[in-house]
Amino acid sequence: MKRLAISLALALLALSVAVYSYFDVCKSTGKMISGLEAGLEIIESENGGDYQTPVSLSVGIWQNCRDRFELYLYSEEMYDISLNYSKIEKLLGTDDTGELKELLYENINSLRRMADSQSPTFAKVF
Amino acid sequence: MLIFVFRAIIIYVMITFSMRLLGKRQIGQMQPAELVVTFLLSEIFSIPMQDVSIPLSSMIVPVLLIVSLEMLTSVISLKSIKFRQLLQGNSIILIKDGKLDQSQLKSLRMTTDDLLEELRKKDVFDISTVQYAVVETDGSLSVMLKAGETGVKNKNMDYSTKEVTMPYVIVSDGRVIENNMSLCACDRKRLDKLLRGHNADVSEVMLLTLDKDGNSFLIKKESV
Repeated sequence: MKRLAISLALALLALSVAVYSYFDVCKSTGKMISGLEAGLEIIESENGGDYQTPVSLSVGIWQNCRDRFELYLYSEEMYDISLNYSKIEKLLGTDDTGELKELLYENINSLRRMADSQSPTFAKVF
Repeated sequence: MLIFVFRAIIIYVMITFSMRLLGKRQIGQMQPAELVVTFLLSEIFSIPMQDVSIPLSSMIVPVLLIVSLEMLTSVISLKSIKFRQLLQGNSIILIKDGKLDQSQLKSLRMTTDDLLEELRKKDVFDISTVQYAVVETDGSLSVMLKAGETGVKNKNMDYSTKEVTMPYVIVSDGRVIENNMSLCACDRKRLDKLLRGHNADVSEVMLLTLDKDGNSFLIKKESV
């Protein structure tokens, strides 16, 4: 009975870590992507709106999550995103929206790829 | 480099923890599935040790799951005979009543040379002396010799012997093992009496064993 309880507890622990990490990555990247998309939309509309606020919000979320993500994501998966975010942060203080737009596109795609890599689809499992 | 140090410590703790949970079976006693699980675990442990870009959780989660599944299957195996047979198979009788079952030998993909080798490992050099030979589920061979080939035992001669009891270590390298004292109904008073009988102090004793019948054995420390 004791062994059964230990084995079930271990399985539960492993599953909860796996499920938590999956939902954490999905939820946080979702927020980051929507921030970047909102900023991109404002830049593309060319009406001089405040694109810095949603993009800064996304940068802030990334900085909060980065250390936690390192616990369950491969460093290679995070390297490009981290690099792009630091470039975006620098560009936010300038008026160079051309390069910023490219970086926002790139990071949206990288974040989507990272979130997709965590989803246990049939093709990935087998 | 410090990362490797911390990772090595964490991985070592995980290995010890998971091996402790998996139990005390030796490699020779393992079922094929258990052996594969052990090799699989060693692989999972070794990868994040060498590559720091891989998060430790990618090792911890599968290890916890594999250990838990292994424990779960062992518990179910204990409770259900059918599940045990499904998982481990059945033992196969190769020699029955002194007659070799050639079809079973073929089904096990064993040659007669393999069988003779296994018998020799059991100190049986003549196959004609074997009454039963059984290939166990872990792949080992158990042998029962014909009645005339077995050694004479006390019971064959109607000779009654007293059961022997296991001696427990009471003092080891000058230290009293309290847990073992209760196992052979020995208290401090009795220990002191025993030591006085051997004209020794606890600190001078290398080994003192005692069984339930009161038989003691003492080795004094050599003075260097």
